[in-house]
Amino acid sequence: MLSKEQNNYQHHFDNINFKGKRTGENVILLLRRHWLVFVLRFFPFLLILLGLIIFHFFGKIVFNFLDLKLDLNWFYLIESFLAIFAWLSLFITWINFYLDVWIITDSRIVDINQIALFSRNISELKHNKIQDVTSEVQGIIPTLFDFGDVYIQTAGNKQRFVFKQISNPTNTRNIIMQLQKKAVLEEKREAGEIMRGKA
Amino acid sequence: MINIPIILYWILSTLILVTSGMIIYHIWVYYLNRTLAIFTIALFLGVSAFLFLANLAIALKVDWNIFGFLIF
Repeated sequence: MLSKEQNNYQHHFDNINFKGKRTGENVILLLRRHWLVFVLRFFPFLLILLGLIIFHFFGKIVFNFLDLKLDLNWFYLIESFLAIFAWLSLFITWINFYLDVWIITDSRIVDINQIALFSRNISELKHNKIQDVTSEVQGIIPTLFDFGDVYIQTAGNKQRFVFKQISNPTNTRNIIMQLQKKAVLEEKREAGEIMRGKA
Repeated sequence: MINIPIILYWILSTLILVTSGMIIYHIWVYYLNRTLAIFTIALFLGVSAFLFLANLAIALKVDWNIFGFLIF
């Protein structure tokens, strides 16, 4: 059984919906890459934005210095297009980050892999198919910020599920192991009932 | 008369509108949290509309005949 502390996790995910969610299915954990990963992906856009602001205010001086007789409106138009494309790229990056999730429910694990726009993989794994769970934290920054990978060895077709760069991998591993134990016990109980001719 | 810069401008504008549509589609169809999805779409549309209108306003001021060698 999940401890009280781990069960408290659940109420955060009451309003979480995803395609294929079954009626009565409870989301226990919703995992995505650590926020630091998004910050690192966001960094180039911040640089572009900074570059655009600097260029906007110093562009005129540079043009005068180089003695270029250019229509400044053209300069602003190009700048405006760059700002729009940076904004769109930022959102595409955010979508790839936000929709790339691993959902642990009370009956299965759903791996939604958002690769790019219109490129998406979804696979699922029942708890009783889990054979082994390993968490891995490697490096100084992941150790300091407590993020890493969780590997789930399965008995199914897909040999390994990998949760990449998630927060608190050790706790996630513990929760998955508890759910797996519970599922296996339930399976054994059902098998026993069948043997005894109750089902 | 074929004005290449104007054609390029329309191609880029169309690309922006199509990409914006694709982004909104993804946020709305695959949302995990409805409230957050609505908020995100509103933020995206608000800033995009501002940027696009500013772009259009600048485009109206631009002298499109400056590159004579690109007009046929």
